[in-house]
Amino acid sequence: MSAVESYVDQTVQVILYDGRVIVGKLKGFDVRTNLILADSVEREYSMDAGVEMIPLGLYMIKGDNVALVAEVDNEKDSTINYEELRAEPLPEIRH
Amino acid sequence: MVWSLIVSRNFASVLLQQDNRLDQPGSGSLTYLYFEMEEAANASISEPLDLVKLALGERVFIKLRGDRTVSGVLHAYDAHMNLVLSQVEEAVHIVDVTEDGQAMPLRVDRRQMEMLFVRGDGVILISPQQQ
Amino acid sequence: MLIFSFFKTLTDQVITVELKNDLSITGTLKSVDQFLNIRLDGISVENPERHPHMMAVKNCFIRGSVVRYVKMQARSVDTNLLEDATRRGELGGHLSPSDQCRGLKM
Repeated sequence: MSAVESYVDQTVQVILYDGRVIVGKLKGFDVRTNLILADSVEREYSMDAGVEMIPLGLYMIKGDNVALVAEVDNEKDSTINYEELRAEPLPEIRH
Repeated sequence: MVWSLIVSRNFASVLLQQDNRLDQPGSGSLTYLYFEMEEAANASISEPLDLVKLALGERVFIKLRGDRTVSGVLHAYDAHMNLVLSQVEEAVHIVDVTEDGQAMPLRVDRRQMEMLFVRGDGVILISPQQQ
Repeated sequence: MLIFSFFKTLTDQVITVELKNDLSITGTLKSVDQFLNIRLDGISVENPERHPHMMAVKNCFIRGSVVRYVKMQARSVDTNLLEDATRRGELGGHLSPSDQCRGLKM
């Protein structure tokens, strides 16, 4: 789990078991992958419209729901036009 | 109750017999297995995973959750049934459904992979494959 | 323990992790822990048009429990060593030394 240590105070993108994508600043974690995210925003992907950004604020995510944590390259992220980006939402984790 | 199971292997044939009357206190197992083996007279066969141990280095057939089957040469396993396989062929069995709800004929997607780790939580069964 | 040790030998190799949501991520294995959580660097997604969700990320931490497969090159694995270690019962199990089945070796 110490692999997540380097993500503290960085912007991370968390993919949950149900396929939701949440981006926020990682403020804390533990061995069960429980996470604390500050200023978090859900990114809702759909084929009908651009990516919807839903502000969530300060979140504690229970580790059981976490599938993946990725470090966001803020520079690259700012070059992506999310309003025009269309994609299927990620499927949930099955079995 | 006595049953027997012949394990086919190039050099070893194993006869497993179960006799519930020989259940011993502290053995931690309801089954008590005897065996005969040409080359491994001392090998202990006492639990299901020992059948998997005999398949090391051999091609095995595996059924996974999500309508998947995998065939490959077994190189490692652990108590979670995590597996390491080589020369792998994976088959995904798919039934497409048309817009009006009719099931299409079974479709099988196949992939080859040279070396693969399979996480044990998806494993349903492991079988020594007769080739 | 055996599989954990196996993954540690793959450190700094390029592997492809297939998740149970069908996402396939290729990258350099940077670390693995006892839960088989995986840290990948320099990642790319197999089908970026279908999965643009990972466009702005370079490295990630994958929870072991969401892994379906890990694909790797055959030449990065010593299969004889793996089979011997498995036969010797390095499974964190309860095998006594006399049970170690050395006789099974071909």
